[in-house]
Order: sequence, then structure tokens, then C-alpha cells
Amino acid sequence: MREELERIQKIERLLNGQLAGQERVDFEQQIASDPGLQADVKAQQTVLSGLERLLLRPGIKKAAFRFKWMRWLLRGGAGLVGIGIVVTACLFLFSGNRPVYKGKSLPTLNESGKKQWAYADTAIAAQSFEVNGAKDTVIETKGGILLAVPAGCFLDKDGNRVTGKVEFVIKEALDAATIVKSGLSTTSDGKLLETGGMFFLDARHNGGALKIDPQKYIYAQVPTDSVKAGMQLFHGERMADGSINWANPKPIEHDLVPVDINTLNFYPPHFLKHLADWGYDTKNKHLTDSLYYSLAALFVVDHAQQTGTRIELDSVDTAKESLLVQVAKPYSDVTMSQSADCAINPAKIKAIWNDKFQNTLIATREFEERLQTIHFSVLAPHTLDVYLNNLDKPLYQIDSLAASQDLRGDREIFLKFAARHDGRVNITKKQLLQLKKYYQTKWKLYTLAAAKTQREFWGKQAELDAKADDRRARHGTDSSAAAERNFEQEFSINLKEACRQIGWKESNLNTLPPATYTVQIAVTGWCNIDRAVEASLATRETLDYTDGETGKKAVIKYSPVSFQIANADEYDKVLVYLIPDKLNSFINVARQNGQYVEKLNELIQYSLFCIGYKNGQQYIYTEKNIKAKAHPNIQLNVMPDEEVKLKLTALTDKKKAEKVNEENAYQQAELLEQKRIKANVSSLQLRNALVLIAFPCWIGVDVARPAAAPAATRDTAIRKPQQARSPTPVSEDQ
Amino acid sequence: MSDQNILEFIRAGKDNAALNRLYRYYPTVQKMIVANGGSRADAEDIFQEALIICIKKFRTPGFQLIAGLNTYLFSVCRLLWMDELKKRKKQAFVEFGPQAGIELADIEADILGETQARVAEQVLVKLKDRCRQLLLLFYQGRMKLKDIARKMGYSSENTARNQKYKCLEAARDQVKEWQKNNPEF
Repeated sequence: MREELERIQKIERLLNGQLAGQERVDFEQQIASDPGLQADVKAQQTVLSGLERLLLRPGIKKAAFRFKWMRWLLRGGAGLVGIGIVVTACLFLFSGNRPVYKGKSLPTLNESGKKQWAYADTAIAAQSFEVNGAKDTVIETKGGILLAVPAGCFLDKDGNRVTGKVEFVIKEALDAATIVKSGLSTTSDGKLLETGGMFFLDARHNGGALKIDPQKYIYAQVPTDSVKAGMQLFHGERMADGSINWANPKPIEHDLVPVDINTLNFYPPHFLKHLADWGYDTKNKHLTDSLYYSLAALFVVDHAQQTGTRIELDSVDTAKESLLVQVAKPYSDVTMSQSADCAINPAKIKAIWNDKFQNTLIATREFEERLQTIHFSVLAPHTLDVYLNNLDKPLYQIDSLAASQDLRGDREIFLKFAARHDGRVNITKKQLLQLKKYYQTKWKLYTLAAAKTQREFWGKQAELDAKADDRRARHGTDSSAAAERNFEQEFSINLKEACRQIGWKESNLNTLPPATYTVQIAVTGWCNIDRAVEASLATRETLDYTDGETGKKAVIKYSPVSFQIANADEYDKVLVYLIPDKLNSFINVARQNGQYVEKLNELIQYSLFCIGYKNGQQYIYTEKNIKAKAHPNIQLNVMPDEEVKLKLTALTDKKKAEKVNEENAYQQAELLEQKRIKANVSSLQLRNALVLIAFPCWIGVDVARPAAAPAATRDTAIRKPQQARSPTPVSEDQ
Repeated sequence: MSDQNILEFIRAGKDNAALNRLYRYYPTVQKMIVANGGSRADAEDIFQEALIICIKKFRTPGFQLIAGLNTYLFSVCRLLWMDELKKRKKQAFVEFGPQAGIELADIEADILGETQARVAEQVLVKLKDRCRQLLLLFYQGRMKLKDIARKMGYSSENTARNQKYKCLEAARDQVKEWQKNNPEF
């Protein structure tokens, strides 16, 4: 042996206490003086420590497995009926008649009543258990095989049920050493198998071999380090040469292992991915749930008549569980309505995706996988119900039931699921009924609650829409009236001045008619000046009138003024007002090409009031008696509301200041209103986008199936919503 | 089965019955871990790790039980979970009070000491199948090298012996490398 290996051997002997006397002393001294050797010893000790851990693992796993199985059994699992389950953890000595099997000795006839035995029958000692045929019994072998033996499962040769004492015998070969030592093969008709464990069962009553009632099977769980797919149960055929050939394979139904339901993903395929692409925090389950479950409101069938923008709600019509998307004015030019029968109501997912369904078939990775496919199914709601109505059955049976529906192209997928032979999670009939009732009640409640929240929200929005409309109408009326009054007043001022310049006496002006065509005209010249003044005022062009008789001129100048607000685009809104001293109301200056332009009447003094709105604050500039010229780069300064009012009062008289304040208040309200509308539009855009990703079977949108990313061409239908915000909230108690 | 019985079973190598008994303490541990931000899977992993640490400890010559076995086991689980939370950069939700009769410093030392053994276990798991099978047959199956040689197709007992030490050498070298890079453990 190479020197290094000899060193390892010596270290092993030291650590095992097999090194003694002087040899040990010398070696310890050598270790003390040699750091390399010290490192070797330390590492080898660690390896042995690791080996100890490895050797403990199977026992611990067995104990874990047994613990879970016992707890599961005690909760009424394994399909066992009745009470009086006797749990055995030790071997019993058979206390009835002389045992037929004892150690490695064998009865004359085997379990099939024949004289043939294999070498393995003699090589492996029997473990005998005394079982009461009339009671449910659980047995654990030395190797950890757990057997659930239901009451009345044994039949004698005449087919009669056996009660009383039964000798139940097990021989097991679960590890490689035992299999090899006992001459057992791992071949089936010459083909090599990978074994998960071998065992032999026999049951005797008064020496006679018993059969097992096929309607009451014995349930066996063989411990394993890892479950491998494709494991089957083979029956052993004794061959003439004493070997055993494995034949008649049957798929093993392996029980499903429930996991924490809150770790599973029941959203539609790619739902979270799309949300992540849109910038949402998909780790926030409260948010992602809110986005998804809010769509349950779309499953309420609207029987009542639509009145204006209010959509009246009815109760959930269970006969017609279809998705209905409606949008009413003012958020859409037309009232849109589309429906899809294939969509799963998110309220149904909410009803099952909770702790109520822990430790059921729903709380398994296997169901999670199927749900991803169900979301795409053309009969998605019905397919989901097939699973939910059969929670006590093995999954492969439910898969077959699902495949038997008219699923068209989806049938193949469910048949493939069935072929996996996935088992069940045991629940009692009582639990099944309770869960069904819970589900049926809850999904309807959630749907109505979601619809109610939506209705309340949009109802409120409709009220606000109406109020805003009223406010705008009133403002429009008031503004028009104010403009008319201003016009009349300015006309009057201009006409008076024009007449004065021409030489008309004031007394003549007293009879000046109002600026309409309903009075008699006395003097031709007067009529012309009237028209000239009106025309000049209407166009805000300089009046330059010459009296035909006297040759006297009347000139009233209009001079342009412009205002340019610094950084105007940074504000949500900017307004510029001129407050004339001789008119009752302010003038709203129009914006043209980035500037606010007007023409000033030389007969009137104007004060300037500029206001900008940004982030809920007001920014102001004021100036008295402005000149008719360009006013560039006007800086607005932030000012609280009360100061604005004071500024206005200093700028003009109380009455006009009040009017400007009212206008200011209106503009602020309009700003908020625009934000509200924008948010609602954004909300609807988000809802429409969510509909496309939440209901993959939606008509007209071909979203990719699971395990395939959506193609680029499809993304035109699934655009990131513009400045999307959270949807209409789903209240906590829904 | 009393605590003393469980200890005797463990020291005698009769682990199955002892483990079955110890597993009855699992629900309390699961409750503690879930209440402190863990999942059921976390609880299973922590409990099984704690069982390994406890059993190795109980087998130590001279080990004396001061508090109950369940108290010891629970304390180990707590400390393991606190360590895990630190690794995950999370805080425990529930403040743990002292457990009567247990020197937490001793348990912390046991847990720290087990770090290397965990690494060694992983090294062994990743060994070639024949190496691992040989070691398991020898140490777990307690088979004689002569029988191992026959079973695994080696030409002689010596060949099997050589092979066993080669497998140990392979594992030891990997562990040495790790120890060199992690001197703090």
C-alpha cells in the first residue's frame, strides 16, 4: 500500500483507539511536531464526523417519515374506515396458535398454496405480527415499512372474511447487502431494474393461507431517500431454479406531499412577469393580489338597465359565470362590452388560495402545475371545478375526468398528467364537504364584494364628474357674462372719450343707446362713431376716427403688451390676468406661442396678476399700472393662499379682488379635477391591460402558454399602462 | 420512554426507537420557527440538523444530561434558527427567554463545531458512487472487507482495503482544502 494510504490507516487506528503502547506515544509525538500531519489528522477526524452525520440521516428521515405518516393517519387518512386504529411500533410475538413462520423456517405450502419456495424465502428471517382481523392495524417493520391493514381485509380460501387472530408475516430486503445476500435478483424477464426495496407478505389464520380482499387493499409505504419517477410495483414469481423473477408491473400511486399553500403560485401564467415588466413590486403579495382579485368585479352580470354612467348591479348569476368588461362615458366615447366564457373568476382563486386548503390536494406543487394549464383551457372554469369537486380522489383520476370534457386541444395535456399517476392527499368526506361549501360560498361573496367596491368607486366618480360638469357650465356662464359686461363698460368709456375728442357734449352722451340695434338713431355721425368705437373695441385696434362734418379726430390707442413667464412649462398651469381700473372684472390674457399677449386701452390702467400652479402650491407675480410693452422673463414666487389674497387686495379694489380669488379657486379645482380624470383613465387602462394577462384565453389575444415567453408581436396588446397606478382598491374584508 | 432510556438507546446505537420518540418534540419546534418567519420546510431542516447535533453530543463519553432532552433539543433548534435568521439578515419576531439548566455557550460551541462536519458530509455525498457505497458498507453495514470485496467485485480483500483508504483520502483532501480556506472554523 502506498505510504499516504498507510498514514491514513494509522490515523484511523489512532482515532479508533486501536493504536496502543509505545506505537501510540511515538505517533502522537510525530503528530505534535509535524503541522502537515496535524492537518491530516484534523481533516480525517472531520471526515469521520461527516460520515457519522451521513450515517444518521437515514434513521432521522425514517423517523420524520413515520412521524408524518402517523400524524396523517391519526387525522383519518389512508382511507381507513372506523375507529380503533391500533398503532404498533414494536414486533409482537405471535401469541395464538404456533406460528407458521418462525425465523427462517417456512410452512409446507406458500402463500398461493403451492410447495414452491425461492432461495430468498429461506434466506430472510420473517417478522411476524399478530393482527386482529376485525380491527384496523398499522404495522412498522424493522426496516421501516409502514403497513395499514384495514379491518376485514383478509379472506379465507372460501372467500369468507376472517376475524380473530391473524399471523401477518413480512420479510423485507431494503438495502443492497440484504438483497445480494438473499440471492434476490433485480431483473424482470432478463431486464435490469433499479429497486426501491423488496418485501414479502403473507397472512395465515389457523395455519391456512389468507387472501387480501381487493376492495380493501393493504396500504404499504416503503421508506426511501428519494422518490424516483417511474417506480412500479412488480410481483415476484418463484422460478424453478430458486430465483425470483419480477413481473406484472403496476404504477405506484405515490401520495402527494402538501406544501405551504402560501408558497405556491396560483396566478395565471406570466402574470407576475408582466407586472414586474410594468414596474410593480411583485414581492408585495398584497399588491399583486389586489391587482388580480379586483378583476372579480368583471364577473358580475349586469341585468339592470344602465342609467347614465351608473351601472346597476345584480347578484352573481351562477348560471352565467362569464367575464364582462364594460366601460362607460366619460372615459370612453362608446360604451364597450366584451365577454369571455373561458376566463377563471379571480374570486375562485382567492377562495382556494388560503389556509383553509392547507394539507389538501390544492396545496401541492402538482396542483399548482395543473392550474397553470387550466388557466389556458377553453373550459377553464369547468375544469377548475372538476378538481375542486374531487379533492378526495387521486390526482390521476381527476386528470382523467378533466380530460373527458370537451377540451379540444387541451385533452392531450390532461391525459399526460393522468399518465404520471400522481396520487392524493387524504381528506375525509366531512372535510371534503366542508371545503366545497366554503369554496362555493366564498367565491360568490368575493365577487360581489369586488363588484360593490368598484361600483361605489365609479359611482362616486360619476358624481364628481357631474359636479365638475356643473361647475364648468356655471363658470362658462359667469365668464361670458363678465366679458360682456367688460365689453359694455369699455365701449362706454371709449365712446365717451371719442365723443369728447370730436366735440360732442356730454348731454348728448346721456342719450347714447346701449350697443344694440334696437334704438332709433338720431344723427348719422353719431351712428358712425358708435360703430367705429365698437369695431375698434372688438378688434382692440386703435380707433382713428374723423368726423366728416367737423374734420375733428377721435383717437383711442390700443397698444400691444406681452408677458413671458420664466419656466412656464414647469408649472401644471399658468394664468395671466389683467385687472383694469375702470372695468368691473378682470381680463384673462390668452397665450400665444409661449407668450401672453393683449392690447391695452390707453384710457385704462391695468394691473398684472400672474399665477402658476405646481404641486399644490401657488406661484405669484403682480405689478401695478403696467406699461404696454414686452415683459420678458417674469419670475413667479411661491406664496401661500392668504398672502395671495392680501396681494390682490393691495392690487385692486375689494370687489375685483374677490372675483380674481373666485377665479383662482375655480382654476385650482379644475387642476385637481384633471388629475382625477387622468387617474381614472390610467386606472381603466391598467384594468384593460390586466384583463389581457389575467385571462389568457381572452378572445382575440393569443398569449403564450406556460414555459414559452410571449412573442414580441403579441406585446402590442400587452403594453405597459401609462403611469399606471393601483387599481380601484379591494377592501380588506373581501 | 424516559430521557435516560433514550440516551441509552442512542449510546447503544439503537437510534430508531430513540428518534421516533424525539420526533414527538417536532411540533413545538415547528411552531417556534414558523412564528419567527420560517416555513415548515425550514422547521424540518432545522429539527433534523438539531437531532444530528444532539445525538452526536449524547454519544460523547462523559456527557451528562442536566436539563430534559426536549429542553436541550429545543435550545439547539432555537440557536440554529437564530443563526439562520442572521444569515438571511432577518430579525426574530419573538424574543427568546432563557431555558433553565442549559448553558447556551456549550450549545453554540457544538453548533459551530458541526460546521466542519457538515462540509465533510457534503464532500462524502459528492464522492463517486462506488466510493460512497464502499464506505457505507464498511461503516454502516459493518461488513468485513472480505465480504465487501466479493460484493463489489474487487479482486481481493487488500484491494478493497486500499480502495477504502483511497476514498477516505479523496474526502480528506477536499476537507483539508476547505479547512485551509476557512481557518476561522
